[in-house]
Amino acid sequence: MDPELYRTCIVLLTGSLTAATTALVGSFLVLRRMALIGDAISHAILPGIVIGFLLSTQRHPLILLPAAAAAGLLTVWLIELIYRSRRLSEDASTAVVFPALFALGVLMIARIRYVDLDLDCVIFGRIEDVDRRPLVLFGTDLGPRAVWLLGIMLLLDLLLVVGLWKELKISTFDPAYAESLGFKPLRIHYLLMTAVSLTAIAAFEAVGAILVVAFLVVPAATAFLLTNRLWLMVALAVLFGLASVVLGYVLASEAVLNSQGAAAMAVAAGLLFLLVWLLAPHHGLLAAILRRRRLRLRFAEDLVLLHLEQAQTRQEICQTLQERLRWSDRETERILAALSRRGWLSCDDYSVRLTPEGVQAVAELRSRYPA
Amino acid sequence: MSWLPEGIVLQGLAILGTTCGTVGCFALLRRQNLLADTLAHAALPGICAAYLLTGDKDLPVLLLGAAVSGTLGVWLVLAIVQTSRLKQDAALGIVLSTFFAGGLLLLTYLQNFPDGNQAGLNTFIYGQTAYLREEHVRWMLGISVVLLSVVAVFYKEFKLVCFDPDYAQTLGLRRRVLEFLLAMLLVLTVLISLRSVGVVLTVGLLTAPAATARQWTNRLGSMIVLAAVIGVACSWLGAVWSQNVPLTPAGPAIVLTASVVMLGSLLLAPQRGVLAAWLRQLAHRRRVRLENLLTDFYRLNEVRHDWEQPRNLVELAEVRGQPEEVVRRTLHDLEDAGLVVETDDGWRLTQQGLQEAARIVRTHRLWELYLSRRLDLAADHTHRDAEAMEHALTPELVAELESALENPETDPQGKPIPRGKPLSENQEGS
Repeated sequence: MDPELYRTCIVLLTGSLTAATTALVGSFLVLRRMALIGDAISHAILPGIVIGFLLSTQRHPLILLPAAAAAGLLTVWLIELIYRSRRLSEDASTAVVFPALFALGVLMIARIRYVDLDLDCVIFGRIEDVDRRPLVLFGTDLGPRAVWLLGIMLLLDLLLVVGLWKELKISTFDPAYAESLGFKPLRIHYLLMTAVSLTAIAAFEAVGAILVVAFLVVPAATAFLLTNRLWLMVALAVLFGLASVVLGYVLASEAVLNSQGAAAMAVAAGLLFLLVWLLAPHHGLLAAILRRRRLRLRFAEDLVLLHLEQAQTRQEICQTLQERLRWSDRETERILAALSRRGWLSCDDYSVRLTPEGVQAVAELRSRYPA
Repeated sequence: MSWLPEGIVLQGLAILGTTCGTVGCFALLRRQNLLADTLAHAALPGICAAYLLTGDKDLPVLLLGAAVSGTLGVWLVLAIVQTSRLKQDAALGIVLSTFFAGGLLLLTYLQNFPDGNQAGLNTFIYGQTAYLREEHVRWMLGISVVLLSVVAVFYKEFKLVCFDPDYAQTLGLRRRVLEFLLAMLLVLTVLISLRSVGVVLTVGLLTAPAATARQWTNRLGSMIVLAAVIGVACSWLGAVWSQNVPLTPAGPAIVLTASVVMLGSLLLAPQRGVLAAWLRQLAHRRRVRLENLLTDFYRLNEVRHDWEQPRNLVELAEVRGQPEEVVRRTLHDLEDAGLVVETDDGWRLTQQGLQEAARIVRTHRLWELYLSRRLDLAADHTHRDAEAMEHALTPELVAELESALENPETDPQGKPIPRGKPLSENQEGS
């Protein structure tokens, strides 16, 4: 195979695996309002990564994964410990714990000075270079390590989400009910946190510690704006993740920006979010604005209809509304025009009359607002 | 090489510590620490864009860019929360990660240019405390003087907005304006700390000193002063550490120092500290244990009004339902306090012990009576509550109870309520 094509395939495969894996757990993070716990974990696993790395310079998954899980759980446990002691708010305890652990990780990296573990790589990842780090087992080159790691993680996350689907669902939406059913939401909480830590470490080699957050949170949040069904949200989150990987790859290619792949993918995810936020059919910004405008017009029409009985001529109507509601003549004219477009009014330059449909509409209004 | 960092670095850190401590207090009280984190990340694309547009690496230009994109980020967070169904955490996560990624994208894009002199820009990601130059410190000083004077001028208003924003509004304060001012303080503080400790650690420097100070005081004024002092002290300590231990970057050293100090304060602070609370609890439990055993003596002897009757370990352990070992320990504690004495047939209350026991039983029975008369609780439902209250009621409250109940003689079960003084008469009479 053409080496350039092979590289492209590997980068896209790594990106896609990252996106799918993170979207699976990220959806639950967003629904549980724990997006920032994901952020904290992804920063705070840094010491775990370094320790795992010290134990095995080959970054053997069997050593790296438990180290990361331990660091991630330590983070969550510490944050909750401080928060539960009621001496600091949840916000503040998060903001104390993860910078401290991150600082510890940076200090460790600075002291080790190992070529393959520089800070840039850990924080930003080098998705372009994944094909240069093979997984070697018993002297056989099995292909890129990151792909293996992410593949395993995807399987584990799938197992978790599919296997515990109803437990996750109930404990996410109604923890008290889950408790009463005997589902042990706390155990599920820590299970999910373990999954987030493992996923974050599997992804960090490709996209780095900070950008993991983009993959965890942004596609899931985008999907959340489009649907009320959990399975559809998870599926859409995976799709948005995949789309941002492809989009980001193109954006970062030599022909366009010639820059960092993982960052471009995260930016692409952000752009997709922006698009959906603006245009989503129900929860989008544009839909909300249009809905509000429609309601405002509807209300204004009702007001004019209710005032029609006291006035027959255009001038009288304008005057009445001017006195009572301080409407400008132009505003009144606009509503009159809208009403005649509906066929409820017949207007000429001078007078205004209700059509039979209009009369019926007024009667209905009166019955809705009895004097 | 001296063990102290250069003077200019110390000056810069002093400014940084003071500002972060002061502004961090308001951020802590308004629960905006993670907003500060988002702000720090969101500043990066502004820094890169400013360089891209002007080709200039002067600090003010870059800071301006950072301020613009940071403010834009914060505004976006608010907009997402207000107009969509997403909550604050998701909004913060989205803005934080995509803005930071945008900055990174620009940074790597800049590397394509042959004259690519962008190398200095990533100091904003990691921070470089050791290379603070006079020009930087002058800018930091200017910004920080402005910040601190704003805090001084609007101190009262800020305080009210932090603790009771609704009340502030009813007083006619312009809440929106004040909140905007506070947000701007946060933006500027983040900006001056970015270059020194970097994107991720800025939030640590903003939070840890304020959180530490919070453990030592309940007054905002002293909290701010304390946070500023702790901020400066931790920055200097971290810098000295980094100066004297090779391969130790200063930013992480400073944040780690501040975090350790915070953790220590959580544990050791005199009033709010975890240790102090634990000791208080331990002392209270001990007192409850002693007082309970005293009342057991009283109740056993009450049957035959024989207050001098010694009681042995077995029956005391049976009444309280505790292992004999625990009861023996409690008895020795009581003996040390002079409330019981050991005799040949067991243990006997001293005069002082009898008075103390009577006082507790009195409190217990008064409370039972109060519950059944005033709250209409059934007489057999009052005991458990009174078991807890007998250790907690103060003499003043007992006196009030007594007058409220018109000096009663017996409790709901018909047992006599011992009086404070004439115990010895009772005893002589029996």
